[in-house]
Amino acid sequence: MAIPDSKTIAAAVMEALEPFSRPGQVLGRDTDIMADLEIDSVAVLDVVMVIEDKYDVSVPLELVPKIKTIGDFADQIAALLAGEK
Amino acid sequence: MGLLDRFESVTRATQEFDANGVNPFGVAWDDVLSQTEAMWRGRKVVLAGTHNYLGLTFSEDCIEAGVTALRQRGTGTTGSRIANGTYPDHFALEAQLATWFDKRVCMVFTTGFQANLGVVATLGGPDDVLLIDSDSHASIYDAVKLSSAKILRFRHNDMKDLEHRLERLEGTPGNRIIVAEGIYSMLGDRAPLAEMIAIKKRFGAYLILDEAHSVGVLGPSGRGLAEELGLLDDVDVLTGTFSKSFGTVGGFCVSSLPDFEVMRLVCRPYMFAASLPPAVIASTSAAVRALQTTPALRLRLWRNIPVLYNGLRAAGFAVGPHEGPIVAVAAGKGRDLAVHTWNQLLEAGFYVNLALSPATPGGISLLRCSVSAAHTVEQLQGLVDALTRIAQGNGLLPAPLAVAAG
Repeated sequence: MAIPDSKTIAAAVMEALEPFSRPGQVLGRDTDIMADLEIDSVAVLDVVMVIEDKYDVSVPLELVPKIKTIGDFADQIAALLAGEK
Repeated sequence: MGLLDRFESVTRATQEFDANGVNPFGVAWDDVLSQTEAMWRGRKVVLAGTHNYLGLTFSEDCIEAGVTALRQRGTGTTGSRIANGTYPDHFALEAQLATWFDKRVCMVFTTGFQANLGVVATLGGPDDVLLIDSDSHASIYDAVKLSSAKILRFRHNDMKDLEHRLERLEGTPGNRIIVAEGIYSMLGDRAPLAEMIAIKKRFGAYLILDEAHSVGVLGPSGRGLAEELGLLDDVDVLTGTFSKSFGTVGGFCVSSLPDFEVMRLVCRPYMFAASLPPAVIASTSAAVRALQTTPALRLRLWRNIPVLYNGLRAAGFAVGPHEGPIVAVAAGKGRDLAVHTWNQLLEAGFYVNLALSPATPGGISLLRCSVSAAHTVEQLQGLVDALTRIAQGNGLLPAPLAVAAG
């Protein structure tokens, strides 16, 4: 299977974060996960798990604080996949 | 920008608590009367949120042992054991616990929090991987931040998920160290230890098991979940606390790993914190003896647990999946109703813990009750009746806990 690109991953991240969006909010790569969404730090970790399962990759907990936007999240997964596959 | 600006939401929440009643995280007792009662604003309140599982805080033997040590050896050690030396009672308590758990080495820490902090942070080295349960206690989350290991979080009690994460690590270097708890502090549920140990063995991993809430509660002689399942030999390091069943303060770990003694010189929360005062050590030692010689304490606790657990369940509340000394009641997703219910319960004369997201699994609010051997059946039945009456009055419809906990 080809390694998905950051854009494809970002779409999956947006889908997983959709339940935490505010009414009428459009999510994009620049959406700041903690600041712009109705989400707490533990729920973010649970969303990370959903994405880990989808791409069969583990995201070490120490990398999570470095993820600020949806774009960062997707880039991080893409980098892990490129390193691991 | 102010140094505390980033805590603005917490400051705001505290102000809301104060404006709408009592701050659930800042209750001030006028006095504490016994293991199960305190005075609050001139009224007697039943304590059902203090994890005083065996009710040993007012045990005559434990008090006498403490008083004797206080007179004989003074109020404190004024420093750490590596700097100030070790009093005979500290070594004696360690020997007592090592023998009891049938492990080679025991180390006593100044708090239970520090025991986890020290053990987990020190054992997870630069190439290693710490695999922690998602419902882990704050001391474990903080410990992994202090460690130099890679940190992976597996879904709470989900052994397939743990297995999967270990499989993904195939071919990478380093020790795999699983960190779990005997009884989890939020929902009071237990780790699937037999399955976990089978996985641990298959992958050549190590297991650190925190039995803070299960020592004194589970097992034929009260040594915890691992003892109950006959798996103590398969736990590489067991940690625990003195501030629950033992009724004092402090923490410990026991292990038979080769060279474990070196931890006394590499584990910084042990090395650089003042050791426990002699009186605390003496009371704890008396509490260990009480656990060993008085199984009736545990029997009384287990007589009491169903009164609360089954009583609340029968009243229609969603409670945690396992019967145990922590009985967590789901109080909905939001914060307001849970805070309101908690306030009403205190006004009615019952103190329990309130737990709010993000400290809770699945973002639900919990009214977390804890049972003591020292409770009377009437006190616990009174709590069931009061909470039922309040919840029926304020429209609290408990969410299904199992689903909410994910």
